[in-house]
Amino acid sequence: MPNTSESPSGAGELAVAPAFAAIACAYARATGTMPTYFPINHGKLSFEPLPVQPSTPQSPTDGLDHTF
Amino acid sequence: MPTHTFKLNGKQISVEAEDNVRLLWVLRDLLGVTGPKYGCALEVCKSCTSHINGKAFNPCSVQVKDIEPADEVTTIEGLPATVGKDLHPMQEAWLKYDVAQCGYCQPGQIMAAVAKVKQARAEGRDITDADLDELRNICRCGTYSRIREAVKAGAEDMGA
Amino acid sequence: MAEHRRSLDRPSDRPADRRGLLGRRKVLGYLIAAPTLAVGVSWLTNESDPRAADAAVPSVPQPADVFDLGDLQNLAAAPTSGLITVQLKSDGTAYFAVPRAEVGQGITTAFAMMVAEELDLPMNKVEIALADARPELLMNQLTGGSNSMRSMYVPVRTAAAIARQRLVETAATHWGVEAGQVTTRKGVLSGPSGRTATYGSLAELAATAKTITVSAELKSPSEFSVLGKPRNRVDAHDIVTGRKQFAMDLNVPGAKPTMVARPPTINGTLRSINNLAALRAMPGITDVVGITHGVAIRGETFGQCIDAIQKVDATWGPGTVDGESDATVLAKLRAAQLPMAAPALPLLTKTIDAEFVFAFASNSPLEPDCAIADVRPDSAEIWSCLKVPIVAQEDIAKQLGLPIDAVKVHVIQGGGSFGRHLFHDVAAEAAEISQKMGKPVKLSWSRTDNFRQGRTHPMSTSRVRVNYLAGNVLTYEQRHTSVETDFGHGLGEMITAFAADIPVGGNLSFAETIFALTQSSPYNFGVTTQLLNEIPLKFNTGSMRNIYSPNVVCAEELVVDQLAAKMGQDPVRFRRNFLKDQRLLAVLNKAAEVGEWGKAMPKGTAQGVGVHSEYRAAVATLVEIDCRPETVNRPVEGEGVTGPRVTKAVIVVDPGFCINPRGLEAQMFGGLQDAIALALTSSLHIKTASRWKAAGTTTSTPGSGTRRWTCRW
Repeated sequence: MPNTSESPSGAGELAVAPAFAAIACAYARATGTMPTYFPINHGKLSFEPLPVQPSTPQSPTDGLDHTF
Repeated sequence: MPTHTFKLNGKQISVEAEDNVRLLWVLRDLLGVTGPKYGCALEVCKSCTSHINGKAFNPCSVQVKDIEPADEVTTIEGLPATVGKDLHPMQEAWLKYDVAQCGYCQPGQIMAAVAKVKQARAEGRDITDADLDELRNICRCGTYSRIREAVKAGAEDMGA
Repeated sequence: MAEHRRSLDRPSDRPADRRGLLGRRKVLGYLIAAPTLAVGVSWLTNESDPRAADAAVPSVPQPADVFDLGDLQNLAAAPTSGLITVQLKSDGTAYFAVPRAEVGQGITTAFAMMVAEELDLPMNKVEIALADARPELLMNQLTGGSNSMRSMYVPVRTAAAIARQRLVETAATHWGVEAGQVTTRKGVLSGPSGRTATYGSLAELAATAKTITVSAELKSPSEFSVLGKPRNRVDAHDIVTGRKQFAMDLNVPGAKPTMVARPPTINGTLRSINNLAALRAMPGITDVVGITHGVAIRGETFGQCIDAIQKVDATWGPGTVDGESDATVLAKLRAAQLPMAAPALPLLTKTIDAEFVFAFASNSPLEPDCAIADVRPDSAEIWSCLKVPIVAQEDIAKQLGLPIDAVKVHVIQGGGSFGRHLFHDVAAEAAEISQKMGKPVKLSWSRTDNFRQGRTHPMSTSRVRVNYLAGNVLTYEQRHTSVETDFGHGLGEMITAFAADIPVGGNLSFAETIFALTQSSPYNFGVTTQLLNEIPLKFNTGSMRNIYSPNVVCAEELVVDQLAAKMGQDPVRFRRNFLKDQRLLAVLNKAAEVGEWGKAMPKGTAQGVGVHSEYRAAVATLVEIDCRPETVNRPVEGEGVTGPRVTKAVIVVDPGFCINPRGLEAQMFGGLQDAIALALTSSLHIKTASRWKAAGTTTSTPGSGTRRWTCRW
């Protein structure tokens, strides 16, 4: 939009809230169900989490098998 | 301690390190080559993406003993020299599109992008959106739109 | 009361105040005694004081309308802003040390643009650095609340304008001509009969022997050639060549790689190390010591620290939330929700009640937390990305038993922040380790440390109740309930120091105050209340980009869509009818137009809109989402989850004055990605026994759509 003031506002965090809301609203309209638990995929895990000990897992050694 | 030798950014180098130390730490902690970034050391975030013999790989997940004397390792620092210029066309594209925000992932993004373009060219075709979807380097700042624009532009400037 | 909402139409910004729009604004500052030209500014004399401006606010707006978080920060910054200086070096470069942290948001570029504009200097002759901790700045060294541009825009330009004016006067005197005959362009002064001089050549002559007050004029926006024009980042070249240095890239002598083996539960403590000798004997390991929350390991490489972590045999004490899980926390939040207080209403009134739950979400950036510490018996030096370095310096000095001035804190550029670098946990831990080992250390947390033990945006619920009758909304009540957010990083100090100046009453907690200063409904919904309550669970929390707003606004906008449906109105039309503010209305209309609101969409896909005003800006977003089974269940490589896919987004923003359109666009892209993550996939899962089970997710690749990568850390 064109400038409406001489003073800058804060912009670094500005987009998050309305975009989050828009996505939630779009989801509700697409599915007919208003989402009430966020994030929408929270209940779905598609992987086995790493064990909690050791607290930092060992690095893989198969890096040369995944070159492109 | 074992000595390992390989070609790094155009120079044959030797470094003393235990066999199992991952190449990322040999580069960063022993050789002072800090362009490849540490993000996870789990081969997930791809921040350390560099090239081995012209192909993208993640040095966080390769033991230094698995690098052969004839292997050529290229990090972001050595990328321009591979085309004999001050900047690689992909780096130029990154500047043109002002891709970076914090910049932490970007060396890895650029190295991955160059390899992805070369891979497509080797198959005799231009880079597609599907190819771009295969790039898995994480950018927490969310610069993906500009990354995609820059990769396409950089690919054109890389020539055939 | 739309025209009075100060959150958007601040009195000093109104067109009625023509001073700045039509002419140059006169500003004051100081020439500071120094070897070369140095200028300092005091904005108290230049910028309207927020306390004075309050008198202009009529009616009963919510607190954030009249005095928001940024105003609090401006107030806290005001008394010390005079210490901010721009120096001109004899090589012709202007040097400005920013008392803020650059974490990717682009402030160094924006500050360089301000200096270049007012000083008539090419961008590459402006050097911007991050200032070390400067205790004399008191509270004016906090990067947060999207406040850097708002608080520094006038002071920085003022300093540059005075420097330019001083150069002009110096050249005029030197050449024996009138100042009006001297012009400046690209770092060169020009006078009558073709005389020229570079800024650098006059830098010493322009210096003053004693500090004096001077005035200058700021350019009016119509004269701008740099500000308001798209500019690339000043550090872009260093970034794409891998030369930009983050904390882990610094070469501090003797600061060897260090990592910590940590307990299995959140904030667990170390009871004993059972194999200390074996750990110390491992290849490449130089030191192993026990610390409060783990076993610190220093070695030749980070890889060897990770090797040693695999072998640690330790006995751990309990953590602070061992019995908690997503379910127990949610139950506690529900029990703590504040009651609704709607007044008695006519019989025909209808009600919408809704409750939304927002999971814990990590605010970790991509760069794992890193800090270098060199603690000696009588001094200490710290290098880390710190948004509140003064608080870090104070706390670390106390922890080490040293005077504050014996602790030097260097602010390093960060690989993202998102709220994380408001805290100095990692710097404090590095100091603890360095002191115990008696050696310098380069401490990096691991990715799993960041997610499991690092800061998290707390779980919250938002209950909304709306009463409506015919075409009117009579009451809007929102009760936000959250696990407590830690604001113990400087904002809390600001609130204490300026309690008397903040127009929110009573004995509100820090968090309640910040909530009140940031939240306000943009709609004419009758009696409106939005309140926060917190439960005191000791998770390691912190604010994440935009603090409360994403969750609060998401809940509100979902209810707005419900209301629209109940009233038989289209969501955009409904918002047009109820929005208070003209700027919000304008961005909504533009988004609807550009995004082709209402166009035909296949079943299972849809558009959605959201609006928001904060930080004196207005923004509207229109997105398209694809929830069709073939998309939701699409195959993805590796361990990613699939799910709905955002396929298009239009963001329309009115930022007041846009300093750098390219930087603003980048921030909008980034915010959108955060929003996609928060809406669809990014969360932490708390399991009983306090295990952070799954965790970080990030989002990727809009344009052709969005794919989420769920990572197994």
